[in-house]
Amino acid sequence: MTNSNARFSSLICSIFLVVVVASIISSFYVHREVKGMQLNPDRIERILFMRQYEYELLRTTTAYVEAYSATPSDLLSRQYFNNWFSVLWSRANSISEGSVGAAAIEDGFNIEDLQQSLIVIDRLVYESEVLSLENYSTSLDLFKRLTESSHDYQQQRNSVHREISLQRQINFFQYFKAEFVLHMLTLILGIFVALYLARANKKLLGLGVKLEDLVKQRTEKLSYTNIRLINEIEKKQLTEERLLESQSQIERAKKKAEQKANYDSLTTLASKTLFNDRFEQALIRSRKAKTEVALLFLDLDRFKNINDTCGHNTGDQLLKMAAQRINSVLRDGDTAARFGGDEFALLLPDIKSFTSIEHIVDQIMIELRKPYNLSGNSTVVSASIGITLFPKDGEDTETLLRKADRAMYKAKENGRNNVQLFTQAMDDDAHARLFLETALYKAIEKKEFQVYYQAIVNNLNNKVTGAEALIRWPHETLGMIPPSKFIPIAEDMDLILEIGEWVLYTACRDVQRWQTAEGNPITVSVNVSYRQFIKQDFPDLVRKVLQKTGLAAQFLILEITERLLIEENQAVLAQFEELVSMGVELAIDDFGTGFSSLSYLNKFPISILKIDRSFIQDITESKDHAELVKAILSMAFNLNLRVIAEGIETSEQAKFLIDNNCTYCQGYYFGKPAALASFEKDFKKKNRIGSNTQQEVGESKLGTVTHMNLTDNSLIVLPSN
Amino acid sequence: MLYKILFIFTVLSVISCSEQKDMSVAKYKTSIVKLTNFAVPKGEVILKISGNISQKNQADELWLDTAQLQKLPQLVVTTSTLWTKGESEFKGPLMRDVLSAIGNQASLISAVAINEYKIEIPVSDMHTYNVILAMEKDGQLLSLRDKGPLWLVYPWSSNKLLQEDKYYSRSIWQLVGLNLHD
Repeated sequence: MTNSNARFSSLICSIFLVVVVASIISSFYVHREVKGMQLNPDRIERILFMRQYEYELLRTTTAYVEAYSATPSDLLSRQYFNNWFSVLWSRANSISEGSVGAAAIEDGFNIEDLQQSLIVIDRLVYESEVLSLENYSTSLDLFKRLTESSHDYQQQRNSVHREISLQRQINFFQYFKAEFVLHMLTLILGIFVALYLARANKKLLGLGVKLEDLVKQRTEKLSYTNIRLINEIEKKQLTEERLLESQSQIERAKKKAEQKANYDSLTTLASKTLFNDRFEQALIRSRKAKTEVALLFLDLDRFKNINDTCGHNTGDQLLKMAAQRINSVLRDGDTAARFGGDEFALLLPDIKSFTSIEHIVDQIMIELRKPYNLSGNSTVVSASIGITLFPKDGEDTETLLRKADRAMYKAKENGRNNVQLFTQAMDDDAHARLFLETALYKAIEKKEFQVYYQAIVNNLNNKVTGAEALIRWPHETLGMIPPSKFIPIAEDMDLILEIGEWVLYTACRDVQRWQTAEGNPITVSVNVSYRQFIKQDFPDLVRKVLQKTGLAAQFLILEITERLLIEENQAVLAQFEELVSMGVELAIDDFGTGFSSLSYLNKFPISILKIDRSFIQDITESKDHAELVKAILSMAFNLNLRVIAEGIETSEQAKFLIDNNCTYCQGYYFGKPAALASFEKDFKKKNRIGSNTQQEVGESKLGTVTHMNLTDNSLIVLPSN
Repeated sequence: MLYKILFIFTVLSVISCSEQKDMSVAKYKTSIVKLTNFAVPKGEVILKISGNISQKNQADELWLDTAQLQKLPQLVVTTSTLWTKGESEFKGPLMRDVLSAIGNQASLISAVAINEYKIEIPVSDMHTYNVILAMEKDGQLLSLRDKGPLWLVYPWSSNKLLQEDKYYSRSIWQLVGLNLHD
């Protein structure tokens, strides 16, 4: 519907209403007029009343004439007149007293005249028995006059009444006309409105039908879309479900991976990651509870051997069993982890006293020492354990693990199958070692090492027949570092190869120079590490060095330790043979201290024994040591081996050795290790003077070298100037 | 809004067009007076009743004198009339008592006065209103000159419904004869 339409309809409605209201108002006026035309009860009564009066007056007059016109009159007619006359009295009374009469009097009816006339007539008729003619005519005149006045009254009243009613009729007609017009108007407007409404309704109906159609179409479309949407949603749900499924699969895989990451697959003990986690948590708890946490680092002794000899499967089996045994001892809150190989880490949180740790460790040791039944064989395996405590030994996992590891290694060093509590000293050692390690690299790089030489003197003539090349490391901050400190480290790090090569080269070069410069054919003893034989082709190196330096092979003595012999390594033996064939001599250093057996003296091409300084030191005080040295000397003599005594510090010691036919000596008594220059000086002096006493050695001039024990492979070459 | 206005107009017009109903539904009153045997009147006969009645004392009519009528229970009606001054006390027997006493079996009364005025009155009027056959006015017997001796008086003052033309015309005075018929 448009706006103009709405305005139009409201206009029509208001006009219609106005017309209806006007017609109602006109109806009211019409009604009023009609009501006015209606005679009211009083008026009807008055008209009838006065008409009755007129009738009664006429009947009374007639009765009067009948009764009194002829004389003598009869009684009946007189009675008749009496009655009528009474009736007239009654009427007159009514007119004068009642409201109907009052209205008539108001209209102009002369009541007084009537009453007076009646009184006069009454008196004239009933005063005397016989009515005189004169009285009769007077009364008759009165009756006539009353009749005339009554007629006048009636006539006058009728005309007035007619005028009024005429006027009313005109009014009524006018109003009625107006009302009729209004009603017609109402009808027309009503029809118009009805038509308009019907049309509008039809339009609305049409619109409604259209709307319904539209709604229907829309609904169909929507339901179609809904179905599609539902399908889509279902699809989405399916996809979602699939996603969830795959997600859960991923989660499961993740869990598995976590399990894998958290637990060692072989032993089902905790992995390193989980262990670290738990360790961190334990530390946090411990900080709060002010308790201690113990970290045990456990390593099965000689596990490698088992793995090598019995195979990996057996090794794994052993690890499994060991893990079970460890687990069986642990308390609920404790965690055992495998750190790879045969290394286990145990976490014992909430430790209140050390005894509880001791108890657990003892139990573990006992359990682990029990025999294992491995593929039919009963095997015994021990363990080395290192222990650190939080917070005493460190604040974080890494430190504690490192220290426990160190303590464990210390336990291994201490002969395995024992427990070591971490001490600060261990850490210090380690620190020192670390420091040395780095320093060693630098030293090699910067060639910080020096070679010192210590004289080997022939006791018989006090001449220097040879020199032992000793490595010295003057560190810029630490000062002189003794070889005992850094050589093991160098060995561990395999730096010994480089160092050894350098020492060999330097020693050979120096000695060769002397030989050419001084003409003194002295020998040079160079210490060779076990590793040098294992890790490289040592004879080849020696050959190259000799070639390079030009030193004759017979002037080179290689000092080896007893350890090399114990191993009885065939490859090493071959190297020995090769060296000997080249003309190089082999000496056993520190003879008597190791687990040496005399048998290898025959097996290996050894030509020199160097008696360890520990024996020499005590020979003058301890009879046992003296006898031992005597025995060694005697044996060596019999085996055709030369002997060099080390660490001679006093003349008594020298004398004892001379007495017992020990020709070659080495020690402070004869000369301290010295750098090349000072050694040269010393050496020259000694050999030149060739003094008999040890005190005179310093002045001795380099001279000939006397062979104490002569062999085909002469060791000591006489220096020649 | 429009509908409300139209509805109000409709209701108003319906109300105005509807006939005004008698709100006071008159109760039908029965007479307690039983059938009475009237002897031939000794005094002057003032009322002659004919028609469908059971009690008769003269040929086919029942004639009654003042005494006989005064024997019936008397009722005083105080009312004003169109024809008297102010309120007056009218006394006389109830018309329904008279009808009951005379054994009326008809429903219409044709009343005739001395002045030859005639009017038809339904009997139901008598059972609806306390219409009396007045014989006295303010303690005085009605004389012939003052609308006597009998005047049928309606209690106009106590009932507005009676103040109507038809009841005024039924109030017949100087009554002398009644004829009861259907």
